Amino acid sequence: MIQLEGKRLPPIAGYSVLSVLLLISAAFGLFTGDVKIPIESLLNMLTIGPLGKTEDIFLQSVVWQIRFPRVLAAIISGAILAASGVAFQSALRNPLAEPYTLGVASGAAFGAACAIVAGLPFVNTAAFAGSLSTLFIVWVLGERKNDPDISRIILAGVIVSSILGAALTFLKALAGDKVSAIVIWLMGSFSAASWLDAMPMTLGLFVMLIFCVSNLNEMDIMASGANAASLGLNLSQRRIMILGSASFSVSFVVSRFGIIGFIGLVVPHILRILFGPEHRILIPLSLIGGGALLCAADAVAKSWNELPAGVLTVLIGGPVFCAILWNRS
Amino acid sequence: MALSIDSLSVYLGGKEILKDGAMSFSVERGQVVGILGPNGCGKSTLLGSIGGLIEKSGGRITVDDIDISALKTRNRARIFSYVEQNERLSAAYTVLESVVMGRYPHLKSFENYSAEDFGMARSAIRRLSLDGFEKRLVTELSGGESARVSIARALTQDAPVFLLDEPTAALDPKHSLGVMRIARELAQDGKIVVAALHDINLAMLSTDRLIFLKEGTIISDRASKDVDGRILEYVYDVPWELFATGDGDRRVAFPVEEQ
Repeated sequence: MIQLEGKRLPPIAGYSVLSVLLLISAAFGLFTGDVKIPIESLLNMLTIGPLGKTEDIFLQSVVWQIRFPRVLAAIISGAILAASGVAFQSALRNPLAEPYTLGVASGAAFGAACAIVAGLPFVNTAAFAGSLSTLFIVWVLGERKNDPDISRIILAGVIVSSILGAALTFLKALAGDKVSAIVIWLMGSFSAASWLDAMPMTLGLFVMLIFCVSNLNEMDIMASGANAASLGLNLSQRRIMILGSASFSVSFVVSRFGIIGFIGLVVPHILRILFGPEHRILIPLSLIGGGALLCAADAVAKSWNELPAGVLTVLIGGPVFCAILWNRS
Repeated sequence: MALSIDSLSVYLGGKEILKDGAMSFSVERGQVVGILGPNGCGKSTLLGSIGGLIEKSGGRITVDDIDISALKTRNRARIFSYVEQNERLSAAYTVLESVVMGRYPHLKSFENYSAEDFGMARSAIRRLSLDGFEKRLVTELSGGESARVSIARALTQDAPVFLLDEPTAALDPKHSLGVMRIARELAQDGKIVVAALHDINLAMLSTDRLIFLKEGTIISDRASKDVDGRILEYVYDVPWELFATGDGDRRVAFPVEEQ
């Protein structure tokens, strides 16, 4: 096995390779689907654009109304999940932290399940409200002003998630024939992605980018193990900014496309091992890497009879993560 | 410039760690002051509360008549360079990346570390005899090397007041002397150095003044050369013997077992 610890790869190599992988994943995503589209026709449709004149309106609509929004949604979701994974691991100074550590996923799942059981049409809105309410509760329970010990907030996230997990099981038991709708929602999928998702997803990405990019040095200090307050960092304020914005952005993903696991855990860890922990490098690499991985996973999932992307990311991400752990030991 | 502590008191978890009305002293620029006392007497709490890292319950801390509790965290970090006891550097940053973080309080929003900042970090690394370690990962360092990285970062922070919480605890004698020599050099440059120490001989050798704490109270505040066995016995609850060495201007102290 190659011992990578201490021998960082140059960031330019990461940007180049991951950008190429992103393009390949996107092309694969556009090419894969129930309707067989020859490469020439696909390129032609991409050149014409969504509003350009063409005789084959059906093909234009498949490419621009179904596949393109889906690829875009997968890329943005992957970027949000991976970059917020970096933010969580740094701000909580915990390698096991991920975007769902503060209960955002279980809150969204509970909110969605409530809406499905009650027969409400606004399942995604309920999921979004559930995830943000959970974040608020966990924050109030766990955060103590300028306390460098973050175990309290992690514990609050774990406990609240457990309670919501039990409540979700309870709801499933009561759901009757609606239980299948809950299970499908929980599995996570981009099959219903549309241009309507573009606005909230872009907003989510934008919010996270602003707060992450404005806290690169701060995340370095938080992750390093140094006494952050003695270096002039207002820990409470920065935690709210970083974790709050990352969770807020992840809420958009999880409420619309379900729980997609492991992207926020695996991508940051692999990139940190290869390129080092500096956030100035890690955040942009995670955005590209997360987007590429989730887009590829969704394309593969799509070609396998619409397997939910969330299942595939865990099935691929789990063994990859185990391999990294084995390599490092 | 002077650091003044006036009737400082600290409660932690409902327990009075630094006792009300018993913690007042001031330190002039150019002085190295050692804080000594048995385990749990409040040394770290005293340094932490001076640096604003532990919330005080009462009293006033000023630097040149500026009340530090009124300052924002970042402004406070421009006044105090603080070395934490047993700091655990857990992420795989290089020594240079870790040390340059000391310049963070001096950065503006969105600003990155400049070439000058890296120059200061390299200079501090050399001063701590860590030459050749710049690209080493802090996670691969020994406890003593890691402690020197923390001290190098505090030097890079370049504040007028240095608060060192047992900076030599993980160091061998050579590096302990090296760190205390740096403390003296800082004082000669006009800085204030307040260091919690466990090694009484090192403290007597390298400080101007020693403040002895016991159960959250100042027992003695005197010039290092005036320390005697009586005060050591009272503070540590064990008899001490002091011997003159060299030309007679240096003394060493040993605790002796009671017969």
